[in-house]
Amino acid sequence: MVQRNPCRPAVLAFAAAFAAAFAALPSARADKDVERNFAGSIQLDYMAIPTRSIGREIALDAATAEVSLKVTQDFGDRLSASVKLCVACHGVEAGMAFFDLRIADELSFRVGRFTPQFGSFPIRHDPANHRTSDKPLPYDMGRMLRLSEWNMGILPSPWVDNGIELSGAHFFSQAVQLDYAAYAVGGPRANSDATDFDYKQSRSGEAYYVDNNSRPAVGGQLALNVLRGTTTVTAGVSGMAGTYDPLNKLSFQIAGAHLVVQVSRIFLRAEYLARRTEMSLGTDPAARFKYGPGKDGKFDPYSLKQGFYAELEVPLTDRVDGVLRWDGLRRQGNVVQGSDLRSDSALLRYTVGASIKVRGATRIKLSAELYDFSDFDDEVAIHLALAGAL
Amino acid sequence: MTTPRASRIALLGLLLGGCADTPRGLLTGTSTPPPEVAQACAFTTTKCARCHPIDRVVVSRGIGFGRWQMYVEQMRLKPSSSISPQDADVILRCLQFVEEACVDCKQGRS
Repeated sequence: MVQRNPCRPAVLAFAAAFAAAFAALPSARADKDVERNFAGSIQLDYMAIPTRSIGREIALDAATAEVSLKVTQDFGDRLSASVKLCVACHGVEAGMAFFDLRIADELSFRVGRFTPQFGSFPIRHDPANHRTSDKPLPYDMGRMLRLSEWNMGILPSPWVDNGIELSGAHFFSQAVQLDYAAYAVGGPRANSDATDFDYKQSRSGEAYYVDNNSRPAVGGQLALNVLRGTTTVTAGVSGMAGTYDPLNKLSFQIAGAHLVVQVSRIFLRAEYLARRTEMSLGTDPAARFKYGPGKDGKFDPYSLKQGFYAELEVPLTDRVDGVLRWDGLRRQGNVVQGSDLRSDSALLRYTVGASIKVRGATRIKLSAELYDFSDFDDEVAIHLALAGAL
Repeated sequence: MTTPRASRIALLGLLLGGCADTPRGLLTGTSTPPPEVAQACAFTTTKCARCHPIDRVVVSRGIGFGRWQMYVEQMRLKPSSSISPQDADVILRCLQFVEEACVDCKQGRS
């Protein structure tokens, strides 16, 4: 029996619409219409874990560098191309390589390798654009303590994937803006016997930068922005779903909600993410998993991972911004034998930090974090980073 | 001993912070702007700071008005930018003044 891909009609419709819109563009462009911009950023962060003599046992501590170099070329008013190289713990990766085609404010297409719209933080994921050295736990990409046990956050940021995205924004008045996005991307990956995403497969040349199961993951976002003077309130919801194993049997769904309140230079940001992930039970789940079957005698194949953060950013002086952040993760569901987590594990983190403008766009970031683990000893992490941009 | 290490990191941060120069805004180094331009630049600072520190704009002064038009359009189209087409006009009014009035602004040196 031939299994049909339920996402294929949507992807084909996306692609056809993009091709039609592309073909409708004027073919000749005067040289004066071509503009090229370069932007870059760098952050060197040192993380110390004073509660440990060897912090490397539980984290990627000490010094890490994050560098990004981005070039955008405009081909007239409606078409542009962007390429961004990122250097970090994972080596050199293409963080962007896409074309943008804008038909109107309400309709744009993005095709290539990009970060699909999900939540609020990813738009500020560049270290030069956020005040702390690391990312909120739901979006952690390897700087959290106990990253191996927790397998990082819920949707590591920036989530870079191949695909197509349709998006737009409409101002109903000067005070109300509605944004939307819908996309189809390769999606997360793992092996057939997986119980969670294997992020290395998403950035491994040996696994090729292609979809691992012939089925795209689909998602979207909707956000409402209300503006009044220097005050803006943004509320949005996001979602992504698909399968992540080569045999197309293990499903996942991610849902998110975000709220951003800006009053002049004061920001209050809050996000919540939840991911339901189907695990492979294997041929002998009793031997594979730490906990037995439920009352019905069956093993529950799903885990639920939730995460949140609330962050207050306040300018303290002309050159010092203060940050208070509270974030956390919770994972519910069976775990494999040998895992240090339990069927219901939680982590809360409390962060106080400051971002100090030094010269130009160079900043020093200083932060202290208290980790409150349900399954491990509490830990403290201290970050000192130098971040710059051009 | 781990506590001294944390203290050293904090001390190093403070020392580096002590090297900071006077913070610069969009209008630093320009002639006195008309009130409406000063207002436009305050508005620009608020809008840009939504996604990134305003420093990123300050250090880019001197790139030319054409490139600012491209940048502002790119930023306006970012999700939840809260920059309407009318807002973009206000932002460009500020940046046009900066480009014309800040003769010493060179990209990377301002």
